[in-house]
Amino acid sequence: MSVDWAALVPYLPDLARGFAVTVALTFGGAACALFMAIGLVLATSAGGPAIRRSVRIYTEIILGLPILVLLYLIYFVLPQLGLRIGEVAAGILTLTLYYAPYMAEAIRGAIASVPAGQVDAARMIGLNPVQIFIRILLPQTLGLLIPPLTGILIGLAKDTAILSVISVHELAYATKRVVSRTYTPFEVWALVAGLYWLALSALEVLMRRLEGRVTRFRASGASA
Amino acid sequence: MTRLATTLASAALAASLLSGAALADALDDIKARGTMVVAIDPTFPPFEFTDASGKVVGYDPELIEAVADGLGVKVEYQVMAFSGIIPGLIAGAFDMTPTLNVTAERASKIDYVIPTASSVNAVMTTKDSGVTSADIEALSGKTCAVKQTTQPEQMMMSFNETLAADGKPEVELLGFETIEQTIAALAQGRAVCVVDDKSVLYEAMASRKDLPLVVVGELGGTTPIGWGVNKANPALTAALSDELKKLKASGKFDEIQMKYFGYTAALPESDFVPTE
Repeated sequence: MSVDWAALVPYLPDLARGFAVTVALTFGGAACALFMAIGLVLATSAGGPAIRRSVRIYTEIILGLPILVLLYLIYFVLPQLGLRIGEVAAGILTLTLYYAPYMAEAIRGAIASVPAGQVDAARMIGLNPVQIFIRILLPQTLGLLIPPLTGILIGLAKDTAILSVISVHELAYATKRVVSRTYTPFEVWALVAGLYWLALSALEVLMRRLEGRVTRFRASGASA
Repeated sequence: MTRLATTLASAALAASLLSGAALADALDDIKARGTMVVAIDPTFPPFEFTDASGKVVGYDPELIEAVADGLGVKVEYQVMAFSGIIPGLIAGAFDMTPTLNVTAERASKIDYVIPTASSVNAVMTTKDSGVTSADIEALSGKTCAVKQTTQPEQMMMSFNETLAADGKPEVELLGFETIEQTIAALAQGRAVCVVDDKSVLYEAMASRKDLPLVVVGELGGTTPIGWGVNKANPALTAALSDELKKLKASGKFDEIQMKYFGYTAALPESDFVPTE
């Protein structure tokens, strides 16, 4: 097999643009999903039984759907019901609806791990609810939340490639196009696989640093 | 460090496995195992589609099965999205694939059997879209849907380069996996036109009478359509060409053309690859 790396040089800007879109989709999708996840957690903890049931039904529907099916429903089927949204918006909405329940589950798990007695004790010594959240719950839950959230975030980043089927011009879309121009599938896909791997590894390292930062009280707390 | 070393070792192993493929001409393998593996995207009527029972049928499948009969082998279809077909052919994942526009770019990477059809692209729109001409100037600044990685998409990208050089707005291209999805994008107003092979668009128009579809004209020149084979298998390419010539001589070729297109056309047997 002859390998021809030079053939893809003129297309590097196209791949770079696709990569930038992938990064934007990842962070945009993650931010929206996290926002919605917090909403889901609040709804289940503070909402009435009707709200709680709706959240549970929604979660069960999402857990039972492949993301590709959800994407097709939003992009190709919703317009028939009169709701048409653009490619990028449909992509972000899919990532949000699909990943919010997973994130909500991670958040619920982290919060549940803080013993209820701690909150009672904090209240006893006179902390108000905001202080309890910031000083007692948040420091302990963030450290527990980041590892599962990292896994979900990486899953979300990888799933952005699926959006290529609805013409979102991200990295996989750009790659298919470049392959169809250069006819060098090995070179282009090898390069792109390397790029995804590097970016996702960097994301993992970043999240681990963040975890180290938010749990530093454990180490410093012991010596203080 | 060990993680990096493992990754590199695995990549080297994968590369060596890939390069080991396709040592002998595929014609010998096909005859030895009695089946020819054909990659096909059966979402492209009348060239290839699936019937009610899910069987792959159409103009090219019928020709391929006739040719396979001549070679004394059976046909095994490997159904996949078009965007994976040429990369797979180059990697040696199957023996051949039908219905490729013959372009100079592609001919430098794959071999072509003698053409089985000719293709001209056309512009399809809806009656209320405001698009009344297939002229590229008339489409400038509008959104058109195409199938990903196809010759029509590449043609539109070349037109876009010309438009950009003239300081005019490009045609925004939405790329999808199937012709049916491009038509959905048109019907839903995401795009104002679909650019693809003319006979495919006419077929789509006939099957979607619920939509106010109209073909406003042709765009670009006529290019031959043919079957693609990996460059490592010249004997297979020659054998397929010979079998097609036999079908032409027997009248079977004209009969199949008539059945799917409603007309017969004479096709070149040499010098059909464009130089540019």
